[in-house]
Amino acid sequence: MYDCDSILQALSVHLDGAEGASDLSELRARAARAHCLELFEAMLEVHQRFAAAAMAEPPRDLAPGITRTLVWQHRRHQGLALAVLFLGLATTLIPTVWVIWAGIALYLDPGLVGQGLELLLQVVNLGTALLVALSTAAHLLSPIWITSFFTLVALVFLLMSLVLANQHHGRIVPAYSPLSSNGRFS
Amino acid sequence: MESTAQPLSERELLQRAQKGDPRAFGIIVQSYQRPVYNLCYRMLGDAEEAEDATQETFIRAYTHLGRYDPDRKFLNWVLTIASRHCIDRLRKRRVSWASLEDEPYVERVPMPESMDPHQMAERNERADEIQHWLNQLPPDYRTPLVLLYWYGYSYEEIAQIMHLSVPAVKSRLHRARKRLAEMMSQSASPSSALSYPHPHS
Repeated sequence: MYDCDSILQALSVHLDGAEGASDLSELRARAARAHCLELFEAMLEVHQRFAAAAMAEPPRDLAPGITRTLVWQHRRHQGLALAVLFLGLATTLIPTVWVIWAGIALYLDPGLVGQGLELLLQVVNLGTALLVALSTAAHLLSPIWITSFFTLVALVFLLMSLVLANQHHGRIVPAYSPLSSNGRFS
Repeated sequence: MESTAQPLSERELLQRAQKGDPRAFGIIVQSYQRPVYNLCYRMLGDAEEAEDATQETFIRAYTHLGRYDPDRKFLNWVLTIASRHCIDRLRKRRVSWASLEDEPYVERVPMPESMDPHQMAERNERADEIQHWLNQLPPDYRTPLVLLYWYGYSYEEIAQIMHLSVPAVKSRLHRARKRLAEMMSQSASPSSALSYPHPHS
């Protein structure tokens, strides 16, 4: 029995040059017996045409054009990274000054626990801003992950500040007043 | 003193490109533009669109160079990107590939300027004919055919580029050829494609 499709499939394998392919003349004879010689020959024709086809030539300016685009994109990317770094550093400048100032204040008056926590919070913010800026510039870590992590840390500090503030709430310390109880200067 | 600088190898150029040197990648582009452009042209059937697709392919390759496995042939990797990109473009055209009555736009294949005008015209006609038949096929059938005939790839290589199994590649090649043969048989006439002499005869 000669199934036309299986003969054409065998022809396809033969044309692909695969191992174990059937002999062409044998396949042709089988195709003739199966009354699909026309399609068989057309498939051979397709193969011959495609095998002889040349590669399409690209335009001469294609490669230089692509290189120019790549260089331009690279420069733009570098510019953007630098801008992000500059902005990041600029935005960290104010907290940096504040951290230094608060650190000195804490050193001089260690009793300021609340201020100490606030200082830690600022350190966290500063670290976040710096890491975001630097990692964006160096493509190391995704800014989303860093900011998310440090936001969580900052939230913990904030909660600690609130708890401490609540503990200290209610202690009213009378302020010094130069006025006496009758409203006159003592 | 005379400079004895050796040209950089492909691996060295790729390493430089990975470190962010677009000019090193430009040399790679120069070497591989022809096969990539040919694939895009054969897939899309339009010279201008093939140019755009080639550019997009190389830009994507440069951007994702970190994902390139150096143990794999660079050309195969770029052709994978190119074929996917071209298939995406073809899908966006929203053309019904199943219909044999479609008559997509066929552009003449650009030929080297050094060629004789008569020779060029003859080659253009043949190339047009092939491109015409190729344009009738669904995108998924074109890629294996192009990779087999223009690049001489094996089933395994085509399967790797197209992320398919070897039997799937065999099946697509067979169906593509069969469909082309049916189309050629249907349109056979004295003035049709079949009247061209066999290139190998």
